[in-house]
Amino acid sequence: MSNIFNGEEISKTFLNPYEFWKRAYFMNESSITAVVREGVETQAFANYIDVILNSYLQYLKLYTRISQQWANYLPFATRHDTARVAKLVVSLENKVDRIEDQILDDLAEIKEDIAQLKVNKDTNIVSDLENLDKKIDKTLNGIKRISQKTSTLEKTMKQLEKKMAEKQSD
Amino acid sequence: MAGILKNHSANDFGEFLSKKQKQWIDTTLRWQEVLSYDPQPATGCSPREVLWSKNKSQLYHYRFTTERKYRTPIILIYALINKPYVLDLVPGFSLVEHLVNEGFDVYLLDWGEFEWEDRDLTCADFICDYIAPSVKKAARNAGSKEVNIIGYCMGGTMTTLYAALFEKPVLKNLVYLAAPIDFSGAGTYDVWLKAPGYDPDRIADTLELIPKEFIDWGTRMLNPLANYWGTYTRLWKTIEEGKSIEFWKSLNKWAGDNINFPGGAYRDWIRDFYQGNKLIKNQVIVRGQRVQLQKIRSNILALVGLRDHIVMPHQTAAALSYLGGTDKTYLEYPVGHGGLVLGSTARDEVFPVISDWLIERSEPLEEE
Repeated sequence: MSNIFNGEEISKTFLNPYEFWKRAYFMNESSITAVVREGVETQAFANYIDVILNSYLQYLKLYTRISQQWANYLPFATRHDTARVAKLVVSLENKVDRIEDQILDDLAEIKEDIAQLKVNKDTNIVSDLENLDKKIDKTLNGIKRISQKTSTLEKTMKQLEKKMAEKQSD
Repeated sequence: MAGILKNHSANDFGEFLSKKQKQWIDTTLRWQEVLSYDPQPATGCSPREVLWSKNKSQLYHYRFTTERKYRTPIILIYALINKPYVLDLVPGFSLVEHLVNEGFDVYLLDWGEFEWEDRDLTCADFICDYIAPSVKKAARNAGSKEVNIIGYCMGGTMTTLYAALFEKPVLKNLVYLAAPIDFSGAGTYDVWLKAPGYDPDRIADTLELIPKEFIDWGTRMLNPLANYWGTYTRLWKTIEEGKSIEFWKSLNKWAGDNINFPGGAYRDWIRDFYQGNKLIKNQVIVRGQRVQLQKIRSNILALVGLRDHIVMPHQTAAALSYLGGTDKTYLEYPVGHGGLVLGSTARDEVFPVISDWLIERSEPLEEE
């Protein structure tokens, strides 16, 4: 086949009906869309649709009422019965969920309290240790003072002993 | 044309058309195959565990793929329409993955699929019994007294109700992704939902559980050509051009993966929000408590798509005027409603903006 029969060349000549259809649709899509949208946005369209909708609802209401009355005589569970059971399950699930939520909230509170207690406890230990440290320091200082006094006393006693010994020898 | 026919035989031309026709038949067969029985792509792939569950709802906690850097967790709240895996669609195009990679502790509340027994659930139930416990559990698990919430679409509106009513854990940062706060001038919805014949009470009373098809129809009809025709034509074109269709498949899977809407919540949503616009008037009452928007003091980041026809930009921008707090940022992107979490603009522009904004305002995790 000659090169002239590639898709592009054929399209240019409008001899390719497939390409022509494709192009025609996509070229006109936006303008057709605009026209259609303008049509569906009118009050007349809305009123027309509502007439159909309301007729359908009227029919459905009647049909539902009759079928429900009929279903009441059947020895089978209706979809209302099934739905009632499902609602019970959901409400039970709700209760469990609420309890779980309460437990988790309480747990979170307890955790916070414990953490606070720990902080308090830790703070107390530190202050107790500090106090103890101060007391030990005081005690040590006291012991030092006592030991200094003892050594002074010892010296005085030694001097007294010395003096007494000197007097005795005199 | 005459020149072509002059230089080449009719046989050549016929051969070309026949080859092209075969390609089109193959493309169409593959297209039909993709739409009918091709396996669905894997979505929501980020590794996670279920932290909490209730009824059909589950709170996912995403596993860290990198070192955790921030103490403040992020909770993603999605709408009651379609499924939340759009926030974690496929690797490389996932908001969840991006946030986890940035070192955030990420949680996502998946509503599950509502069934007949859930038909009476109201907006108040979702706020008080689902969002509030989820946020509390996420904060407890993260060891934080503060949380960040990202609310997408209706999820953002519900987050607003939550934020106005619950003080603890402290909502530090609130990100709105196309979330409606002001319901006036809501585009096509304004016309449809305020039409004299549209009665949410009648709909909720009759249908009780609003079928997913009903919700889907309402969303698709906002742009019928693109949603019913354009998306499939685009798939066909992508196959014909030999490009990858994986992203299209993921997106299409999500777009068609709808959930039923509880009638009670539907009644509240249409009557109080779209028809009454009660949120900005501080007239919404949740279990006896009035929702006052000025009470919300968190930092606000509001992101909108300029081509969004589901939530108009001004509907989200209203958060800046009505909510309390002083740190408020508003950014616009040239995308539609889904473009804030899907596609290349989301990946390259929106996700980095969200994470950078949150990084600046989240408590770093200090080694203990």
